[in-house]
Amino acid sequence: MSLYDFLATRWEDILAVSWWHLRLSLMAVGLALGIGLPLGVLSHMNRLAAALVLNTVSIIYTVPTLALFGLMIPLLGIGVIPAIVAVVLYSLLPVVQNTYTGLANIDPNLREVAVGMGMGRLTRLFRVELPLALPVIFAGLRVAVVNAIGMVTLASLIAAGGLGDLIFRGISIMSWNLVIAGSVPVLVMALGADFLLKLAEQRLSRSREVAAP
Amino acid sequence: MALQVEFRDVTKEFPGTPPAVDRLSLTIEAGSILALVGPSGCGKTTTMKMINRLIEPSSGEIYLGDAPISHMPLKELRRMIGYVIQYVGLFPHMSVAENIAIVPKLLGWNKARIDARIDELLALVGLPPEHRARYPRSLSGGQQQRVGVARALAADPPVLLMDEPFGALDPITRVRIQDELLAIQSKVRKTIVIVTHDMDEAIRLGDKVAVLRAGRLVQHEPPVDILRHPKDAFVAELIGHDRLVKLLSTLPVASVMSEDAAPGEAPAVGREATLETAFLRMLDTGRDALAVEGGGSLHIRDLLRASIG
Repeated sequence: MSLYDFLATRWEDILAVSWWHLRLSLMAVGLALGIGLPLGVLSHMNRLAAALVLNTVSIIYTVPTLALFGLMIPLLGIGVIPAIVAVVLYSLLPVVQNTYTGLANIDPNLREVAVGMGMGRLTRLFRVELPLALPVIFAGLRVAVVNAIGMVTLASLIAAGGLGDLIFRGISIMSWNLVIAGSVPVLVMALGADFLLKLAEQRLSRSREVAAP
Repeated sequence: MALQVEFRDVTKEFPGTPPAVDRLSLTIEAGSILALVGPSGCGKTTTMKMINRLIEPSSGEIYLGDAPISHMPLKELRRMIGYVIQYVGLFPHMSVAENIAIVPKLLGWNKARIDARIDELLALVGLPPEHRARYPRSLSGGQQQRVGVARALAADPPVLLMDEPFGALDPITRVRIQDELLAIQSKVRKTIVIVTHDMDEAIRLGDKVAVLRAGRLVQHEPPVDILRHPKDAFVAELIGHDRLVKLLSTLPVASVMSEDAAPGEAPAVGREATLETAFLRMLDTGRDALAVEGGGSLHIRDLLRASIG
Protein backbone atom coordinates (compact mmCIF):
# COMPACT_ATOMS: atom_id res chain seq x y z
CA MET A 1 0.00 0.00 0.00
CA SER A 2 1.31 3.39 -0.93
CA LEU A 3 1.78 5.97 1.82
CA TYR A 4 -1.00 8.07 0.29
CA ASP A 5 -3.53 5.21 0.32
CA PHE A 6 -2.44 4.30 3.83
CA LEU A 7 -3.04 7.81 5.12
CA ALA A 8 -6.30 8.13 3.20
CA THR A 9 -7.75 5.10 4.98
CA ARG A 10 -6.19 5.60 8.41
CA TRP A 11 -6.13 9.38 8.89
CA GLU A 12 -8.91 9.38 11.47
CA ASP A 13 -7.07 6.87 13.65
CA ILE A 14 -3.81 8.79 13.32
CA LEU A 15 -5.50 12.02 14.29
CA ALA A 16 -7.14 10.42 17.32
CA VAL A 17 -3.86 8.88 18.49
CA SER A 18 -2.06 12.21 17.98
CA TRP A 19 -4.65 13.99 20.05
CA TRP A 20 -4.24 11.46 22.85
CA HIS A 21 -0.46 11.84 22.58
CA LEU A 22 -0.74 15.61 22.91
CA ARG A 23 -3.11 15.32 25.87
CA LEU A 24 -0.74 12.97 27.71
CA SER A 25 2.15 15.40 27.11
CA LEU A 26 0.26 18.48 28.23
CA MET A 27 -1.21 16.78 31.30
CA ALA A 28 2.27 15.73 32.36
CA VAL A 29 3.75 19.20 31.81
CA GLY A 30 0.78 20.78 33.59
CA LEU A 31 1.45 18.59 36.61
CA ALA A 32 5.19 19.26 36.39
CA LEU A 33 4.43 22.98 36.41
CA GLY A 34 2.12 22.60 39.42
CA ILE A 35 4.83 20.73 41.33
CA GLY A 36 7.95 22.37 39.91
CA LEU A 37 6.96 26.01 40.32
CA PRO A 38 6.48 25.78 44.10
CA LEU A 39 9.68 23.72 44.35
CA GLY A 40 11.56 26.41 42.43
CA VAL A 41 10.16 29.11 44.70
CA LEU A 42 11.05 27.07 47.77
CA SER A 43 14.60 26.64 46.46
CA HIS A 44 14.83 30.38 46.00
CA MET A 45 13.75 31.04 49.56
CA ASN A 46 15.84 28.44 51.35
CA ARG A 47 19.41 27.33 50.70
CA LEU A 48 18.97 23.85 52.11
CA ALA A 49 15.85 23.26 50.02
CA ALA A 50 17.74 24.57 46.99
CA ALA A 51 20.58 22.07 47.45
CA LEU A 52 18.15 19.20 47.98
CA VAL A 53 15.63 20.00 45.25
CA LEU A 54 18.01 21.11 42.51
CA ASN A 55 20.25 18.06 42.96
CA THR A 56 17.33 15.65 43.05
CA VAL A 57 15.72 16.93 39.85
CA SER A 58 19.13 16.97 38.14
CA ILE A 59 19.75 13.35 39.08
CA ILE A 60 16.31 12.32 37.81
CA TYR A 61 17.06 14.12 34.56
CA THR A 62 20.24 12.08 34.03
CA VAL A 63 18.32 8.77 34.08
CA PRO A 64 17.84 7.72 30.45
CA THR A 65 14.18 8.20 29.53
CA LEU A 66 13.76 4.60 28.44
CA ALA A 67 15.09 3.41 31.79
CA LEU A 68 12.79 5.79 33.62
CA PHE A 69 9.75 4.17 32.00
CA GLY A 70 11.20 0.75 32.86
CA LEU A 71 11.67 1.76 36.49
CA MET A 72 8.00 2.71 36.67
CA ILE A 73 6.85 -0.88 36.12
CA PRO A 74 7.91 -2.31 39.51
CA LEU A 75 6.76 0.88 41.26
CA LEU A 76 3.44 1.69 39.60
CA GLY A 77 2.81 -1.04 37.06
CA ILE A 78 1.86 -0.17 33.51
CA GLY A 79 -0.65 2.17 31.91
CA VAL A 80 -1.36 5.86 31.77
CA ILE A 81 -0.53 6.78 35.35
CA PRO A 82 3.06 5.47 35.47
CA ALA A 83 3.66 6.98 32.04
CA ILE A 84 2.52 10.41 33.20
CA VAL A 85 4.56 10.10 36.39
CA ALA A 86 7.69 9.35 34.37
CA VAL A 87 7.16 12.37 32.11
CA VAL A 88 6.38 14.62 35.08
CA LEU A 89 9.61 13.57 36.80
CA TYR A 90 11.58 14.28 33.67
CA SER A 91 9.90 17.64 33.09
CA LEU A 92 10.65 18.88 36.60
CA LEU A 93 14.20 19.94 35.81
CA PRO A 94 13.50 22.66 33.24
CA VAL A 95 10.59 24.00 35.31
CA VAL A 96 12.36 24.00 38.69
CA GLN A 97 15.70 25.14 37.32
CA ASN A 98 14.25 28.03 35.35
CA THR A 99 11.99 29.16 38.18
CA TYR A 100 14.99 29.18 40.49
CA THR A 101 17.28 30.94 37.99
CA GLY A 102 14.59 33.45 37.04
CA LEU A 103 14.06 34.42 40.66
CA ALA A 104 17.77 34.46 41.47
CA ASN A 105 18.61 36.81 38.59
CA ILE A 106 16.21 39.60 39.50
CA ASP A 107 17.94 42.97 39.82
CA PRO A 108 18.82 43.24 43.55
CA ASN A 109 17.94 46.95 43.43
CA LEU A 110 14.36 46.11 42.50
CA ARG A 111 14.15 43.61 45.32
CA GLU A 112 15.48 46.21 47.75
CA VAL A 113 12.98 48.80 46.58
CA ALA A 114 10.17 46.28 47.12
CA VAL A 115 11.41 45.64 50.66
CA GLY A 116 11.96 49.34 51.28
CA MET A 117 8.39 50.14 50.23
CA GLY A 118 7.09 47.82 52.91
CA MET A 119 6.06 44.76 50.90
CA GLY A 120 5.84 41.52 52.85
CA ARG A 121 7.58 38.42 51.60
CA LEU A 122 4.56 36.92 49.83
CA THR A 123 3.42 40.22 48.34
CA ARG A 124 6.92 40.67 47.01
CA LEU A 125 6.93 37.16 45.56
CA PHE A 126 3.60 37.44 43.77
CA ARG A 127 3.64 41.09 42.77
CA VAL A 128 7.30 41.59 41.92
CA GLU A 129 9.53 38.53 41.83
CA LEU A 130 7.42 35.98 39.96
CA PRO A 131 6.24 38.49 37.33
CA LEU A 132 9.83 39.56 36.73
CA ALA A 133 10.97 35.93 36.47
CA LEU A 134 8.09 34.98 34.18
CA PRO A 135 9.97 35.12 30.85
CA VAL A 136 12.65 32.77 32.20
CA ILE A 137 10.05 30.42 33.72
CA PHE A 138 8.21 30.44 30.41
CA ALA A 139 11.36 29.45 28.55
CA GLY A 140 11.68 26.46 30.89
CA LEU A 141 8.08 25.53 30.23
CA ARG A 142 8.75 25.57 26.50
CA VAL A 143 11.67 23.16 26.88
CA ALA A 144 9.50 20.92 29.08
CA VAL A 145 6.65 20.78 26.54
CA VAL A 146 8.92 19.96 23.60
CA ASN A 147 10.74 17.29 25.64
CA ALA A 148 7.47 15.78 26.83
CA ILE A 149 6.01 15.46 23.32
CA GLY A 150 9.08 13.50 22.28
CA MET A 151 9.23 11.46 25.44
CA VAL A 152 5.58 10.37 25.41
CA THR A 153 6.44 8.35 22.31
CA LEU A 154 8.14 5.88 24.66
CA ALA A 155 5.05 5.72 26.90
CA SER A 156 3.70 3.21 24.41
CA LEU A 157 6.20 0.70 25.86
CA ILE A 158 4.30 0.66 29.17
CA ALA A 159 0.89 0.53 27.50
CA ALA A 160 -0.08 4.18 27.78
CA GLY A 161 -0.84 4.58 24.07
CA GLY A 162 0.15 7.58 21.99
CA LEU A 163 1.97 7.78 18.69
CA GLY A 164 4.61 5.35 19.97
CA ASP A 165 2.05 2.60 19.35
CA LEU A 166 2.19 3.29 15.62
CA ILE A 167 5.95 3.62 15.52
CA PHE A 168 6.78 0.47 17.49
CA ARG A 169 4.15 -1.59 15.68
CA GLY A 170 5.53 -0.28 12.42
CA ILE A 171 9.05 -1.31 13.39
CA SER A 172 8.00 -4.80 14.49
CA ILE A 173 6.05 -5.57 11.32
CA MET A 174 8.39 -3.50 9.14
CA SER A 175 5.64 -1.16 7.97
CA TRP A 176 7.34 2.12 7.16
CA ASN A 177 3.95 3.68 6.49
CA LEU A 178 3.11 3.13 10.16
CA VAL A 179 6.48 4.46 11.32
CA ILE A 180 6.00 7.61 9.25
CA ALA A 181 2.38 7.99 10.37
CA GLY A 182 3.65 7.87 13.97
CA SER A 183 6.77 10.05 13.70
CA VAL A 184 5.65 12.92 11.53
CA PRO A 185 2.87 14.04 13.93
CA VAL A 186 5.38 13.93 16.82
CA LEU A 187 7.69 16.16 14.86
CA VAL A 188 4.92 18.54 13.81
CA MET A 189 3.53 18.84 17.34
CA ALA A 190 6.96 19.43 18.87
CA LEU A 191 7.89 22.09 16.32
CA GLY A 192 4.43 23.65 16.53
CA ALA A 193 4.51 23.84 20.34
CA ASP A 194 8.02 25.28 20.24
CA PHE A 195 6.97 27.94 17.74
CA LEU A 196 3.78 28.93 19.56
CA LEU A 197 5.41 29.10 22.98
CA LYS A 198 8.33 31.09 21.63
CA LEU A 199 5.87 33.53 20.11
CA ALA A 200 4.03 33.84 23.42
CA GLU A 201 7.36 34.32 25.20
CA GLN A 202 8.32 37.20 22.90
CA ARG A 203 4.96 38.89 23.32
CA LEU A 204 5.32 38.51 27.05
CA SER A 205 8.64 40.34 27.21
CA ARG A 206 7.66 42.88 24.58
CA SER A 207 4.49 43.88 26.38
CA ARG A 208 6.70 45.54 28.99
CA GLU A 209 8.63 47.71 26.59
CA VAL A 210 5.91 49.50 24.66
CA ALA A 211 2.88 51.51 25.62
CA ALA A 212 -0.09 49.46 26.72
CA PRO A 213 -3.00 49.37 24.26
CA MET B 1 2.58 66.35 57.16
CA ALA B 2 6.24 65.86 57.89
CA LEU B 3 8.09 64.37 60.85
CA GLN B 4 11.45 65.15 62.36
CA VAL B 5 14.08 62.44 62.03
CA GLU B 6 16.70 62.26 64.75
CA PHE B 7 19.80 60.09 65.06
CA ARG B 8 20.96 59.66 68.64
CA ASP B 9 24.44 58.26 68.97
CA VAL B 10 23.95 55.75 66.17
CA THR B 11 26.73 53.34 65.26
CA LYS B 12 26.72 50.66 62.60
CA GLU B 13 29.48 48.11 62.53
CA PHE B 14 29.88 45.40 59.94
CA PRO B 15 32.07 42.49 61.07
CA GLY B 16 35.77 42.88 60.38
CA THR B 17 35.78 46.53 59.26
CA PRO B 18 35.94 49.89 61.02
CA PRO B 19 32.43 51.24 61.84
CA ALA B 20 30.51 52.28 58.72
CA VAL B 21 28.71 54.88 60.82
CA ASP B 22 30.37 56.05 63.99
CA ARG B 23 28.42 57.62 66.88
CA LEU B 24 26.25 59.75 64.65
CA SER B 25 23.96 62.30 66.26
CA LEU B 26 21.97 64.38 63.81
CA THR B 27 18.57 66.04 63.70
CA ILE B 28 16.70 66.54 60.45
CA GLU B 29 13.99 69.11 61.05
CA ALA B 30 10.47 68.30 59.91
CA GLY B 31 9.84 69.60 56.40
CA SER B 32 13.50 70.25 55.57
CA ILE B 33 15.88 68.68 53.07
CA LEU B 34 19.10 67.18 54.36
CA ALA B 35 21.79 66.34 51.82
CA LEU B 36 24.13 63.61 53.03
CA VAL B 37 27.36 64.04 51.13
CA GLY B 38 30.76 62.41 51.11
CA PRO B 39 33.03 60.12 49.08
CA SER B 40 32.03 56.49 48.50
CA GLY B 41 32.39 54.39 51.60
CA CYS B 42 31.81 57.34 53.94
CA GLY B 43 28.66 55.75 55.37
CA LYS B 44 26.07 58.04 53.79
CA THR B 45 24.02 55.26 52.20
CA THR B 46 24.24 53.16 55.35
CA THR B 47 23.03 56.16 57.34
CA MET B 48 20.04 56.59 55.05
CA LYS B 49 19.12 52.91 54.95
CA MET B 50 18.98 52.81 58.74
CA ILE B 51 16.03 55.21 58.58
CA ASN B 52 13.78 52.66 56.84
CA ARG B 53 15.58 49.82 58.59
CA LEU B 54 16.96 48.18 55.49
CA ILE B 55 20.01 48.23 57.76
CA GLU B 56 19.68 47.94 61.54
CA PRO B 57 22.01 50.03 63.72
CA SER B 58 24.47 48.21 66.00
CA SER B 59 23.77 50.72 68.76
CA GLY B 60 21.97 54.01 69.30
CA GLU B 61 18.44 54.89 68.29
CA ILE B 62 16.69 56.74 65.48
CA TYR B 63 13.49 58.68 66.22
CA LEU B 64 10.72 59.43 63.77
CA GLY B 65 8.88 62.29 65.44
CA ASP B 66 8.86 61.11 69.06
CA ALA B 67 8.82 57.41 68.28
CA PRO B 68 11.93 55.24 68.32
CA ILE B 69 11.81 53.37 65.00
CA SER B 70 13.16 50.14 66.49
CA HIS B 71 9.79 49.79 68.27
CA MET B 72 7.67 50.41 65.18
CA PRO B 73 6.27 47.54 63.10
CA LEU B 74 8.65 47.20 60.16
CA LYS B 75 6.16 47.24 57.28
CA GLU B 76 4.23 50.15 58.80
CA LEU B 77 7.43 52.16 59.19
CA ARG B 78 8.47 51.51 55.60
CA ARG B 79 5.06 52.46 54.23
CA MET B 80 5.45 55.81 56.02
CA ILE B 81 8.73 56.46 54.23
CA GLY B 82 8.95 57.15 50.51
CA TYR B 83 11.99 55.57 48.88
CA VAL B 84 13.71 56.56 45.64
CA ILE B 85 16.93 54.94 44.43
CA GLN B 86 19.42 55.52 41.65
CA TYR B 87 18.25 54.15 38.29
CA VAL B 88 14.82 54.84 39.78
CA GLY B 89 13.90 51.23 40.54
CA LEU B 90 10.56 51.35 38.76
CA PHE B 91 9.14 47.87 38.27
CA PRO B 92 9.38 47.15 34.52
CA HIS B 93 6.38 44.80 34.51
CA MET B 94 4.05 47.42 35.93
CA SER B 95 2.61 50.45 34.17
CA VAL B 96 3.24 53.95 35.51
CA ALA B 97 -0.11 53.88 37.32
CA GLU B 98 0.58 50.45 38.83
CA ASN B 99 4.00 51.56 40.03
CA ILE B 100 2.55 54.61 41.73
CA ALA B 101 -0.29 52.58 43.26
CA ILE B 102 1.95 50.10 45.11
CA VAL B 103 2.01 51.58 48.60
CA PRO B 104 -1.62 52.85 48.51
CA LYS B 105 -2.64 49.29 47.61
CA LEU B 106 -0.56 47.87 50.44
CA LEU B 107 -2.35 50.30 52.72
CA GLY B 108 -5.72 49.08 51.45
CA TRP B 109 -6.99 52.24 49.77
CA ASN B 110 -10.01 51.79 47.50
CA LYS B 111 -9.71 52.05 43.74
CA ALA B 112 -11.38 55.45 43.37
CA ARG B 113 -9.06 57.00 45.94
CA ILE B 114 -6.00 55.44 44.32
CA ASP B 115 -7.05 56.64 40.85
CA ALA B 116 -7.62 60.17 42.07
CA ARG B 117 -4.25 60.12 43.82
CA ILE B 118 -2.44 58.94 40.67
CA ASP B 119 -3.91 61.84 38.68
CA GLU B 120 -2.96 64.28 41.39
CA LEU B 121 0.63 63.00 41.56
CA LEU B 122 1.16 62.96 37.79
CA ALA B 123 0.07 66.58 37.73
CA LEU B 124 2.38 67.37 40.67
CA VAL B 125 5.46 65.92 38.96
CA GLY B 126 4.50 67.43 35.59
CA LEU B 127 3.57 64.34 33.56
CA PRO B 128 0.50 64.21 31.30
CA PRO B 129 -2.30 61.89 32.49
CA GLU B 130 -1.91 59.75 29.32
CA HIS B 131 1.33 58.43 30.83
CA ARG B 132 -0.66 56.34 33.33
CA ALA B 133 -0.80 53.33 31.03
CA ARG B 134 2.77 53.49 29.76
CA TYR B 135 5.54 51.17 30.86
CA PRO B 136 8.78 52.48 32.37
CA ARG B 137 10.97 51.41 29.45
CA SER B 138 9.02 53.66 27.09
CA LEU B 139 9.85 56.73 29.21
CA SER B 140 12.96 58.92 29.16
CA GLY B 141 15.30 58.97 32.15
CA GLY B 142 13.87 62.24 33.40
CA GLN B 143 10.30 60.99 33.06
CA GLN B 144 11.19 57.79 34.91
CA GLN B 145 12.70 59.86 37.68
CA ARG B 146 9.48 61.89 37.95
CA VAL B 147 7.46 58.70 38.20
CA GLY B 148 9.89 57.50 40.88
CA VAL B 149 9.24 60.65 42.91
CA ALA B 150 5.48 60.32 42.36
CA ARG B 151 5.61 56.72 43.53
CA ALA B 152 7.54 57.65 46.67
CA LEU B 153 5.02 60.39 47.46
CA ALA B 154 1.99 58.20 46.71
CA ALA B 155 0.75 57.57 50.24
CA ASP B 156 1.73 61.06 51.39
CA PRO B 157 4.56 59.81 53.62
CA PRO B 158 6.05 62.23 56.17
CA VAL B 159 9.59 61.25 55.16
CA LEU B 160 11.25 60.73 51.77
CA LEU B 161 14.58 58.96 51.27
CA MET B 162 16.48 59.47 48.01
CA ASP B 163 19.62 57.48 47.28
CA GLU B 164 21.67 59.18 44.53
CA PRO B 165 18.36 59.84 42.79
CA PHE B 166 19.70 61.87 39.89
CA GLY B 167 23.01 60.09 39.39
CA ALA B 168 21.98 58.42 36.14
CA LEU B 169 20.70 61.58 34.44
CA ASP B 170 22.62 63.78 32.02
CA PRO B 171 23.76 67.12 33.55
CA ILE B 172 21.08 69.26 31.89
CA THR B 173 18.20 66.97 32.81
CA ARG B 174 19.65 66.63 36.30
CA VAL B 175 19.54 70.35 37.00
CA ARG B 176 16.00 70.58 35.64
CA ILE B 177 14.77 67.69 37.78
CA GLN B 178 16.55 69.16 40.82
CA ASP B 179 14.63 72.39 40.29
CA GLU B 180 11.41 70.44 39.91
CA LEU B 181 12.10 68.58 43.14
CA LEU B 182 12.53 71.91 44.94
CA ALA B 183 9.27 73.15 43.42
CA ILE B 184 7.49 69.99 44.54
CA GLN B 185 9.01 70.28 48.00
CA SER B 186 7.71 73.83 48.32
CA LYS B 187 4.23 72.33 47.90
CA VAL B 188 4.48 69.11 49.89
CA ARG B 189 6.98 70.07 52.65
CA LYS B 190 8.31 66.60 53.43
CA THR B 191 11.31 65.70 55.50
CA ILE B 192 13.70 64.62 52.75
CA VAL B 193 17.05 62.88 53.07
CA ILE B 194 19.11 62.87 49.87
CA VAL B 195 22.29 60.86 49.56
CA THR B 196 24.73 62.20 47.00
CA HIS B 197 28.45 62.25 46.31
CA ASP B 198 28.04 65.48 44.36
CA MET B 199 28.65 68.56 46.50
CA ASP B 200 27.00 70.83 43.92
CA GLU B 201 23.82 68.79 44.18
CA ALA B 202 24.01 68.85 47.98
CA ILE B 203 24.35 72.65 47.94
CA ARG B 204 21.53 73.12 45.45
CA LEU B 205 19.06 70.87 47.21
CA GLY B 206 19.90 70.82 50.90
CA ASP B 207 18.41 73.14 53.50
CA LYS B 208 21.31 71.67 55.40
CA VAL B 209 24.27 69.64 54.23
CA ALA B 210 25.82 66.90 56.34
CA VAL B 211 29.35 65.98 55.28
CA LEU B 212 30.41 62.48 56.27
CA ARG B 213 33.87 61.01 56.28
CA ALA B 214 34.67 57.45 57.35
CA GLY B 215 31.39 57.18 59.23
CA ARG B 216 31.85 60.42 61.16
CA LEU B 217 29.85 63.60 60.80
CA VAL B 218 32.39 66.27 59.81
CA GLN B 219 30.15 69.27 59.30
CA HIS B 220 26.39 69.81 59.42
CA GLU B 221 25.25 73.28 58.43
CA PRO B 222 23.24 75.21 55.83
CA PRO B 223 24.99 75.26 52.42
CA VAL B 224 25.95 78.93 52.72
CA ASP B 225 27.80 78.32 55.98
CA ILE B 226 29.58 75.28 54.58
CA LEU B 227 30.70 77.36 51.61
CA ARG B 228 31.81 80.25 53.80
CA HIS B 229 33.56 78.22 56.43
CA PRO B 230 34.48 74.71 55.34
CA LYS B 231 35.48 73.04 58.55
CA ASP B 232 38.68 71.46 57.28
CA ALA B 233 40.71 70.70 54.17
CA PHE B 234 38.58 67.61 53.47
CA VAL B 235 35.36 69.62 53.23
CA ALA B 236 37.11 72.35 51.23
CA GLU B 237 38.34 69.73 48.79
CA LEU B 238 34.85 68.24 48.41
CA ILE B 239 33.55 71.72 47.55
CA GLY B 240 36.33 72.35 45.05
CA HIS B 241 38.45 75.33 44.05
CA ASP B 242 35.43 77.37 42.94
CA ARG B 243 34.05 77.58 46.46
CA LEU B 244 33.46 81.33 46.37
CA VAL B 245 31.83 81.20 42.94
CA LYS B 246 29.47 78.60 44.35
CA LEU B 247 28.82 80.89 47.27
CA LEU B 248 27.91 83.74 44.93
CA SER B 249 25.59 81.43 43.01
CA THR B 250 23.88 80.40 46.25
CA LEU B 251 23.24 83.82 47.81
CA PRO B 252 20.49 86.15 46.57
CA VAL B 253 21.10 89.84 45.85
CA ALA B 254 18.82 90.69 48.80
CA SER B 255 21.33 89.17 51.26
CA VAL B 256 24.05 91.83 50.79
CA MET B 257 22.40 94.78 48.99
CA SER B 258 22.17 98.22 50.54
CA GLU B 259 19.21 100.58 50.78
CA ASP B 260 21.18 103.41 49.13
CA ALA B 261 19.73 104.66 45.89
CA ALA B 262 21.57 103.49 42.80
CA PRO B 263 23.17 105.96 40.33
CA GLY B 264 20.55 106.98 37.79
CA GLU B 265 21.78 105.03 34.78
CA ALA B 266 22.70 101.79 36.64
CA PRO B 267 21.51 98.49 35.09
CA ALA B 268 18.79 96.67 37.02
CA VAL B 269 18.85 93.30 38.78
CA GLY B 270 16.13 91.36 40.68
CA ARG B 271 16.21 90.94 44.47
CA GLU B 272 16.02 87.17 44.18
CA ALA B 273 18.68 86.91 41.46
CA THR B 274 21.91 85.29 42.61
CA LEU B 275 25.00 87.32 43.33
CA GLU B 276 26.68 85.41 40.53
CA THR B 277 24.12 86.81 38.08
CA ALA B 278 24.64 90.31 39.52
CA PHE B 279 28.42 90.03 39.31
CA LEU B 280 28.25 88.86 35.71
CA ARG B 281 25.94 91.78 34.93
CA MET B 282 28.58 94.16 36.35
CA LEU B 283 31.36 92.55 34.30
CA ASP B 284 29.15 92.60 31.24
CA THR B 285 28.15 96.26 31.52
CA GLY B 286 31.38 97.56 33.03
CA ARG B 287 29.45 99.23 35.91
CA ASP B 288 30.36 98.88 39.58
CA ALA B 289 26.77 99.35 40.85
CA LEU B 290 23.39 97.89 39.96
CA ALA B 291 19.88 99.10 40.73
CA VAL B 292 17.89 96.49 42.60
CA GLU B 293 14.31 96.15 41.38
CA GLY B 294 11.92 97.46 44.02
CA GLY B 295 14.47 99.90 45.49
CA GLY B 296 18.02 99.80 46.82
CA SER B 297 21.32 99.09 45.11
CA LEU B 298 24.13 96.61 44.89
CA HIS B 299 27.70 97.93 44.75
CA ILE B 300 30.69 95.77 43.88
CA ARG B 301 31.93 96.49 47.46
CA ASP B 302 28.84 94.64 48.74
CA LEU B 303 30.03 91.48 47.02
CA LEU B 304 33.16 91.51 49.17
CA ARG B 305 30.98 91.00 52.23
CA ALA B 306 29.38 87.87 50.78
CA SER B 307 32.13 85.54 51.90
CA ILE B 308 32.06 86.87 55.47
CA GLY B 309 28.30 86.88 56.02
